Amino acid sequence: MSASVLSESTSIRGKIRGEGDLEIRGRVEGEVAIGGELVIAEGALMRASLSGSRVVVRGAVLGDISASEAIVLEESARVVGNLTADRIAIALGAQIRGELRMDVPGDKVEARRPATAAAPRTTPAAVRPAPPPVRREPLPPVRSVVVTRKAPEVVTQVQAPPSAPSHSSSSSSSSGPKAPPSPVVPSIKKGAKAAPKKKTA
Amino acid sequence: MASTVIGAGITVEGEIVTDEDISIQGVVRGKIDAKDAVSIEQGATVEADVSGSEVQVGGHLTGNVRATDRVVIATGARVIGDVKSARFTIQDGAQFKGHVDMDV
Repeated sequence: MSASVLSESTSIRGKIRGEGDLEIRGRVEGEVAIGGELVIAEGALMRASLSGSRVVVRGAVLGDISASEAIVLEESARVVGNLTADRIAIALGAQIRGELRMDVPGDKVEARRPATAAAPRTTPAAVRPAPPPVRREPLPPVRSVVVTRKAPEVVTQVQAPPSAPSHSSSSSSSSGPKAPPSPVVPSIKKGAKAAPKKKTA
Repeated sequence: MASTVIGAGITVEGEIVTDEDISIQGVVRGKIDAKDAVSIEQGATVEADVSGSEVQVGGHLTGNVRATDRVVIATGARVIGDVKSARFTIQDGAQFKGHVDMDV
């Protein structure tokens, strides 16, 4: 008995069932459920739910995948669908959008895993937002702090020499103040320093 | 070896379309549409309309057959359906029931 293969140019619309291994290089629309190893080769296009003892994906799959042993998404795999298996491997470069479900013994463990996994992401995000609500009024300052750090310098410098805007005004208008300040700064300092020196002198 | 193989133990329900040759050792229900050779091996069961350049039947086939080149029903094969092909061979020991159209 030779292994079952669907070539690149082969497309099947319907159900594929049975025992044994199957390699799909072409297209399938429908459902594939086999007892052996199912290989979705690179370049294959599946619009189907897949199941097998072991499912190896190198192509594109739109549909849910389940395996009694393992699901392996290799580098070139692109999957949109949910994966269900005891063991799931996703290679670097594989792309998936969907839910992964591994039958971890005990619901508690299963419940904790997603919680802990989700927690570190949510908590830092939540913690950081949390203080701001308390300091909601300070919040704008927080943003402005970043701005003000730059702004005070700009403002003071700009205020010191009113002639500076005139120099910068020629180059730019509203967006100018942010970018120009740095180039303007030296001239301002020079002018500022020069003025006091002249005054002192 | 054929580029597409439906192995023994595999069942396909639906439509198979291919530009290349196909070998069927399992079960197919629906339709087979190939541009190249179709081989229904001994032990295979096909309940489908079959079209290809060359159709070889060694297993059980229920359905109409259409070939651009030829149709061969081998010893031990059983075919129920109409055959349309310019060349048609029924080997000794093959079973066949249906009409034949050789484009005469």
